[in-house]
Amino acid sequence: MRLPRFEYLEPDDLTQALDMLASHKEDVKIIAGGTDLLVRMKNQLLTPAFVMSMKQLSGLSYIKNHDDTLTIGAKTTLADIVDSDDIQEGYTALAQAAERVGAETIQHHRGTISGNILQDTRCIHYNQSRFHRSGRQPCHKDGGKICYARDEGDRCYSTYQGDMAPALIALEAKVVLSKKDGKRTINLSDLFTSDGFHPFSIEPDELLTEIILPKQKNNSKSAYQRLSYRSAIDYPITSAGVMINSKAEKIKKARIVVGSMSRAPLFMVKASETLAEKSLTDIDAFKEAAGIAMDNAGTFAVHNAGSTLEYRCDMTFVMVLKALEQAAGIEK
Amino acid sequence: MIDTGSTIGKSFKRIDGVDKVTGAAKYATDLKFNNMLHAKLLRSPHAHAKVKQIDAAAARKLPGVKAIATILDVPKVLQYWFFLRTPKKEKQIFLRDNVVRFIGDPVLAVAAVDEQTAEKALSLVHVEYERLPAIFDPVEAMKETDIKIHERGNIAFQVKKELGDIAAGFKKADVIVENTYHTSKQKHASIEPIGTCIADFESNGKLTIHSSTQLPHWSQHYLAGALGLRLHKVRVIKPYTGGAFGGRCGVIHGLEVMCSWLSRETLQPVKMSFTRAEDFCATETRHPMMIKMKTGATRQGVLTANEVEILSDTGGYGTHYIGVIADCMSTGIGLYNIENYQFSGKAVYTNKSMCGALRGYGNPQMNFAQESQIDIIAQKIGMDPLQIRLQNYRKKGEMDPILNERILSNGLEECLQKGAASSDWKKKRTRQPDKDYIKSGIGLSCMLHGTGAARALPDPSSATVMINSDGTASLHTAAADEGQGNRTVLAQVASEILGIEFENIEVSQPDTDITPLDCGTHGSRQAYCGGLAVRDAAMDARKKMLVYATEMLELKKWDHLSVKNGVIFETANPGNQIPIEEVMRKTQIGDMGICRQIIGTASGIAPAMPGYYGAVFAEVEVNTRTGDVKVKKLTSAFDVGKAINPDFVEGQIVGGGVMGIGFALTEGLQYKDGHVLNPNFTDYRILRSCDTPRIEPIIVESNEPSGPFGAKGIGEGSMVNVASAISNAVFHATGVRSKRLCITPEQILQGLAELK
Repeated sequence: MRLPRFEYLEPDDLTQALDMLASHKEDVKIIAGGTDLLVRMKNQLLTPAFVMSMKQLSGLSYIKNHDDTLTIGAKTTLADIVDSDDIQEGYTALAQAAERVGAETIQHHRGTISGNILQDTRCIHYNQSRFHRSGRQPCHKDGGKICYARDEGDRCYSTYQGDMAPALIALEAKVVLSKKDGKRTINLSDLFTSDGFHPFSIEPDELLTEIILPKQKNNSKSAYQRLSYRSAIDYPITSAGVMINSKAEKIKKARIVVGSMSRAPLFMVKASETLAEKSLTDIDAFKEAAGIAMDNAGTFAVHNAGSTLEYRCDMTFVMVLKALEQAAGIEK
Repeated sequence: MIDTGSTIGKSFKRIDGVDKVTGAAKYATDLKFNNMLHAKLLRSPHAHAKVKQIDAAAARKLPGVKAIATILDVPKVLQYWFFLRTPKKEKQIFLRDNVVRFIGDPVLAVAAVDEQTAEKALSLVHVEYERLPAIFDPVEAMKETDIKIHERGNIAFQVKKELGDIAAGFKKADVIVENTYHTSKQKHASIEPIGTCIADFESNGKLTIHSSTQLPHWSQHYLAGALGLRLHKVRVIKPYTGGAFGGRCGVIHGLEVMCSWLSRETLQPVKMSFTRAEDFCATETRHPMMIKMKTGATRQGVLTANEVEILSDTGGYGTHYIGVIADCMSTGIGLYNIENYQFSGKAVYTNKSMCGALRGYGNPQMNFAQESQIDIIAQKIGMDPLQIRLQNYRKKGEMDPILNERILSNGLEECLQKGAASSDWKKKRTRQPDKDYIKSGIGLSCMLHGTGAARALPDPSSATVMINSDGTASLHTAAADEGQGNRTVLAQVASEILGIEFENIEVSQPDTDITPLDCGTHGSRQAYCGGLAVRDAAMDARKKMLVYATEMLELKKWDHLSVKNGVIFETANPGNQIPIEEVMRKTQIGDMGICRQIIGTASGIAPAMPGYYGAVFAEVEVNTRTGDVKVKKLTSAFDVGKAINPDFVEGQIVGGGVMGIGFALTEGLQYKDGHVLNPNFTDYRILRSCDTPRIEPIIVESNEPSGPFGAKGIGEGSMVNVASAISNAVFHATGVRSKRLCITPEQILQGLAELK
């Protein structure tokens, strides 16, 4: 399979990059590592007129420790995140998520944090060759009106299977979106639209330039768990990012985020709230929270990630529970 | 037998190794020719439909398009590449009519100046289809009478065989176990996608084909038949190939015939190369099978009866469906001495991609069922699974009732004993306390696989050895090397016999203009069948060489001479010697005025189809929370007769182990409404190196008397009993008995829930 024709843009600096985005808007796709984009282009799921490389943009690859925050440049590779002591210690879930993306030899050195965050939603019925898609009516994501994953599906139910976002949302991350005339900072959770067809609220002329992680008060621990068939390459079929803030062995705040079960990472509000004021060793409370998370996530999921829906739901419970046990330091 | 100990049993480096790792080796897709056109196939988007009309007028007008061939133009029926030894003698293979039978079935081919133009042309073709109801389920296909996938119905083939008295056998049994097993539609997943061909039809009527085939001569035969050419006008050359595993074993649907047709139309070379997605969706796969098995045994562990009923799903077309079922029968019956055996098999058509040969050829499916049954029986009567196998296997000296051959070598007992010792079977079989939710277990299984196919079909091998005037030799053989290393092994055989150093022997690639008839590489046959031909050809050349040397050394009888390391000497008086180089220079360049090129040649069919044997011990850990099965270690002991090159044998054992774990746990095409959902390496999960456990190869050498230096096969067998060993280990770990491959996490969790 060959790449469709496109014009290649290689801006020298951020200003030039934002100018190019401003003038080409929807016609341009940004390539950072390319591990997600190029596969889509080969399958002709995307045929952008312009592909803009971030190669020459220096100064977007960093991990900086500030008084109240930790900031990560958009071009930072997954390998750098795994290697960072600051992240390993203060934001364990993020390091664990980076470690599990793709294959170490490819994605960890080519793949970037922003590329992983902005990884498009996937569906086993859509992420296929043009030949496969040519023999049938186009689905919602392909510009049609049919869903092959859910009977009578009235919209696109493709699944967000990125690893970094569930961990980052559990850690209350914000992202900086830059454009020609300025920039805005939003909660990472607000970057997701919950629309499978158009999963991100980023504007065509905007570039994700930075990720901001707040410094948590109290004793804060986080963990990320994901399930996939093989230990490399595979996208998760369900995942959980959790953060637990505690004081004197009592949970003050918990955040449970479930990934790979819906069009966006799911912040499980109800499940998270049940853990307030619970003891760090209260395994029954963790089980209850995991059960609620499983039930709530299950309502969003459709059969489009290769294994049965029932199994993915059951495993959501297992992943959330494992992540909570790990963050609470009581993992078996 | 000559055995100087110079080359046999030594792990020489493969002769093409450096070329392959440096990228110098040319594969079919690397080849380029002047004026070469590129061809692409238009494939059916429907699982079952009649092609009413093809409108290609707009495509023909597209600049750069040189020729178009539709399924209505090309030959409909081919002489099959093998002619079964049945009363019917000759078999025909049905190729095409105006019906498409699976999604991806070729409808039309375009040849154009480049790939992009060919692709563009395809988008301009309009095909009018009449949709027909499609059948995907083999059970449904068997019962269905209104929807016929082929004119004569949906049952492609059926066979029944009975040994002894099955009813009496069950009467003698204390335990009877009855189960139904299912296996998946596994793909070869060779590193080079299946399906590349360059056809070059010249104006003098000669067709040259460069194809990544396993069977160059059979390609030559069927293409000549299809195109109405004589054999001397069809030349098939096989360049380097990136793995085959049976996928290049016969007619590749829509490839060589279409390419040749387009080249004849244009008189230009035409290249067609399938993408990975085309390979996954539209070339042959393993036959998925449903196997019902009823097995009886006494309390003492004597297997008294086995009743087997196989339903094999051959997909939209059939090529190997007869052989695959025959292999289920011969391997199943051959392995154990079960007096009363009833075997019946049916192959049916469905509207999915066609099935064919894949490493093991029916045996892995049959083995999964039979080795599971024996494990269940052992458990029911409280016998060690190792013991029940030792007690029942067919030993050396016994008759194989299907092949009607006496077993001349069988190292299965040694395989079992060595494997058990090395895997610490006894200790691990006693239940260990589990680590919380992780349960561990060990299981074993055995297998028999035939070497070659001399009892089933014509299985010729030939070789020619030419000794050059400087004492080097050229070996000409069409024993296609798909990457397993048989060219190197055959060079070792020639080297040993000729007494010419290994590095002074060059081995050709298959080229039907030059290399003599060989049915190609299938059935684990080349070390054995190819080895016999090379041995005999080398013996012929050796004798001729020694006859000249006898004269030069002023001796009387040529067989008083020996040859080693390039020097011929009097056996009784080694000081009386002459280098081969000198003999050759004198005979060929004409110091003696004779100018004789020494050529040795041999051809024939192997005298037997010796079974090779193996025992695999699998250790697993099952995560009872996620249902995930991790294979921790395989100990694979195989009786290969004699390992001519031990490194290559170990390579085959390890490679087969990896493929076997995939067959057990993750591999298989998934379908929805006839569409393959996983035609790529993201979704079709072959094991990655980080998931591959330690595989310990153990070589057992039973010395097969009919083989070259005692050798027999290994290539396929090494994957055959891996899945059954893993399944038996999963049972040992968890008590869950899997009857369906792949063993998915869902299946494990469901099984655990049912046990509660």
